[in-house]
Amino acid sequence: MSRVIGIDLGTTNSCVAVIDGGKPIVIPNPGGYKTTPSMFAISQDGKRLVGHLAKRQAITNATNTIFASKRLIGRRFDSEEVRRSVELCPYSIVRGENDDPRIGISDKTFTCPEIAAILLRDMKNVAEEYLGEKVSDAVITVPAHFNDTQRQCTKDAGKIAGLNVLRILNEPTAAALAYGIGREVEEKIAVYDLGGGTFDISIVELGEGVVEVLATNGNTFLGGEDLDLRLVDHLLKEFEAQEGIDLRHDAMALQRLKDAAEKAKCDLSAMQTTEVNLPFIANDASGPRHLNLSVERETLEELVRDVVEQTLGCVSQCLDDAQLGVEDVDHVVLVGGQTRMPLVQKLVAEYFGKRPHRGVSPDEVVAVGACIQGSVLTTDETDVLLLDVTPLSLGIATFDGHFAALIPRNSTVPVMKSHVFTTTRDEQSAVKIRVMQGESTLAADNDLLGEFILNSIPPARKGEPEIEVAFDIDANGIVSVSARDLATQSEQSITVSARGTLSEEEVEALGREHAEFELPEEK
Amino acid sequence: MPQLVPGWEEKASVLSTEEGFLLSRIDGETSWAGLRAVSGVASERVDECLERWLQDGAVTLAALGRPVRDDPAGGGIDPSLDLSAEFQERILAFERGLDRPYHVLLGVSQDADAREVKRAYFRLSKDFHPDRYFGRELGHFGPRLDRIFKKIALAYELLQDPSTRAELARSLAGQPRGASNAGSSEKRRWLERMRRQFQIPEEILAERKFRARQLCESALVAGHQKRWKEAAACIRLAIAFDPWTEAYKESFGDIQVEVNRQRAEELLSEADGAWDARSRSEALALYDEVLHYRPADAEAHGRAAQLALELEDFERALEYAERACELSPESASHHFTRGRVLRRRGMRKKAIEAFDAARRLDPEDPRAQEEIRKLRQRSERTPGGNS
Repeated sequence: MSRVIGIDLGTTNSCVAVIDGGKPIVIPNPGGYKTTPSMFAISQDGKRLVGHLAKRQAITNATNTIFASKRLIGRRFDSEEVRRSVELCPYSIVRGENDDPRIGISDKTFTCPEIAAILLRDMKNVAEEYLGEKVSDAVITVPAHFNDTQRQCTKDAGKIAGLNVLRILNEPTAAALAYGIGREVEEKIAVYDLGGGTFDISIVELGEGVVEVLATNGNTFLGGEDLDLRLVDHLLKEFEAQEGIDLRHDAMALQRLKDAAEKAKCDLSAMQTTEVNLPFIANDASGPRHLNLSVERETLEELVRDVVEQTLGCVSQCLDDAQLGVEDVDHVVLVGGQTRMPLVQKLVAEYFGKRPHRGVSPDEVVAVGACIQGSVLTTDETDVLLLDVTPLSLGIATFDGHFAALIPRNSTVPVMKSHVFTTTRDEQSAVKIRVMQGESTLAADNDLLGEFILNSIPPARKGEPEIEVAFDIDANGIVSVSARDLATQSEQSITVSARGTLSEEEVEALGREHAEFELPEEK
Repeated sequence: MPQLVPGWEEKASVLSTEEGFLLSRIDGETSWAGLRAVSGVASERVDECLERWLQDGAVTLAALGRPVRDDPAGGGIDPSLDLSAEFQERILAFERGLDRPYHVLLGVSQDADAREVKRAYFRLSKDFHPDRYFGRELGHFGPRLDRIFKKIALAYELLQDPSTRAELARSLAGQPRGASNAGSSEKRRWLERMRRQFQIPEEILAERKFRARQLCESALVAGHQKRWKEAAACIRLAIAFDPWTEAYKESFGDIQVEVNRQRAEELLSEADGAWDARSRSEALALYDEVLHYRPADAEAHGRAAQLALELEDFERALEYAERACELSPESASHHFTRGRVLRRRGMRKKAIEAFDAARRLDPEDPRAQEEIRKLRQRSERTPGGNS
């Protein structure tokens, strides 16, 4: 069996790792970098560029360069998150056939799974070139708080990229696995994962070769990108105050600003103050204008403090779910590039009352964990068992528009739970079971995963029939739901085939289309 | 509709409580589905029993045919699968016992602390979690592993939570064995309601009670003559016919202990000294149950410790052995067993202490002395080694 690669498909950077000679290694790309920007562009002359090549030309080709597309994957076009991205991104985001957001660059339109597939394909190629052998099996990570649609879209992306996705793994869980492997002690750790676009927190218990996730929480739209945007906004305002010019509608200027802001943010992790120099950023009647501003670490910290504090709200919710206090946590592990920021480290340390662990590389640990899980699933070499949880509650919509959770979030999978419901009208002969996922008590605020009808309920007064609804999640995360009339034992069930934003046929077709980017096999 | 064939008693003689209960519900008027609904027995078990009785000729089907089975999986050991035959056996055995009380399922005592419960759960997870067999050809064992893991995860969840745990303990104390499947209270309430709907007419009720009394008497006689299996079968039937008399349930527990003990010893003698893992693990499971009823039985703990030791389940062996020594500190053989377990776990110093205790209690037996000599010898060979 060929080797399994682990891919951390990040919002800003991606990373691939594999077990080689019994040890996980992070595979450098041909440029020698261990992480690759999650960017895709079509150049002026029609060439497809991925990774560093795409990033390098982003400024001069802003409208044709896609970044942070992970923030759109699996969402509805009408969602708040997509609306915010439309406002902020230099590339165009349009409504797709399935009400999904699609990205238009250089007269072509791409679905989000397709973009993810292009990035995954690149990672696959990096691994194949390094290993000198074909790779087909992969474990891909997603933010713990991704819902079923987002996960399925990521799986579809893998398929389009010619990968057999063995498992979709939660990012903080992967990090915990990488941290916990080979540690024989029993301890509870908190994995604080602040990446480019998402935030996750997981409380994990280690011991006896088992990694048990106790609880997980997060926000799929909160990350380093938001910090960059705060700084961009600050720079825009400063520049407008100085020069009286609004750069908000100049795509190229915005891209340059974004780039400079990201760099300034990183610089400020090491320095107290930094300069942002962007010559010829604008032109008006009086000639060219240059942006030349200095930014203090303190200024940046003030700008973003509330964003970072927002993460701590998720942390305390997560601790509550795990029924633990901060004092029960033995170690805090920081994951994600954004945790390099001193302010983040300071607030986390203050919250937990202990200094975070510094043994793991925040950019690489997730990919490492993913390849470990790949090895755990396919070989006997790695003796560790991961007990992961379902991050979002699963349940059904009730007749009054409420949501009744049957499998609460943070239940260890596989899991089966059942509950008895009844009818709401006299002589009601059928009930519609609407399977939903989410945390709101209102059904409408949660995601609909599927629905089916249980009929042939014998005539009875309302409230009398008893309908047992059973939810089942298997180890691969596949949800099936059955409803049974306890009096007649008649039963209906569905497998909730998690639907991405693309149909199976579309995924197949895109897979064929993208097969041309496969590396030629060496003879 | 299933109905009883005259002379069924001989054909379905050895019955468990639930089988007995089910049998008592066969009146020629309740349909197969109805039996599934009212018997309080898992649907699969109802199907299984009825199928068997049909084959044995104890039951016939009138008019309505049998319903479609819930679980067509069936099947036993399949050497073509990607699982060792021993493990397939273990899966089947464990699954048969899935309805045991949760702490028995996890293999911990009823008062085990949170850490012990967690460790037992982790240990069983490493054996039964479907991820351990990812991508393998598992046949019908795939769904079985899935079911087993879900059940142990549920057991862990309920035992970890002090409030649900207290409730479980209460319900266990108030109910006979077999009815401990405290899964959902809704289900139980529903069953109660169903039972009320299927009300039993007075004269049938009186006859049932009479039958139960007779059976109980036979049970007492059989028990007196140490024919424990027969006694258990009778008392089970008595409970089935008359589930309202608590005294039957009480004597059932006592008899069950003896049956298990007897069966375990039989299994062991059948094994004929050969290393037969299957009968040993079955015997151990039986002792497990004996201990459930007799938590202060030192001899049973000692036997269980020996069995676990032979099965190389050292952690359990140590638990049993320690308990045995605690309960009967004057018994040399318990200390000796404990010493052997400790030695296998590599805890040399403690092992020597245990053997030393055994030697002091029974100076006649040279085995403890021999073990100590060997252990000391080894420690000389590896200087600096500790514990």
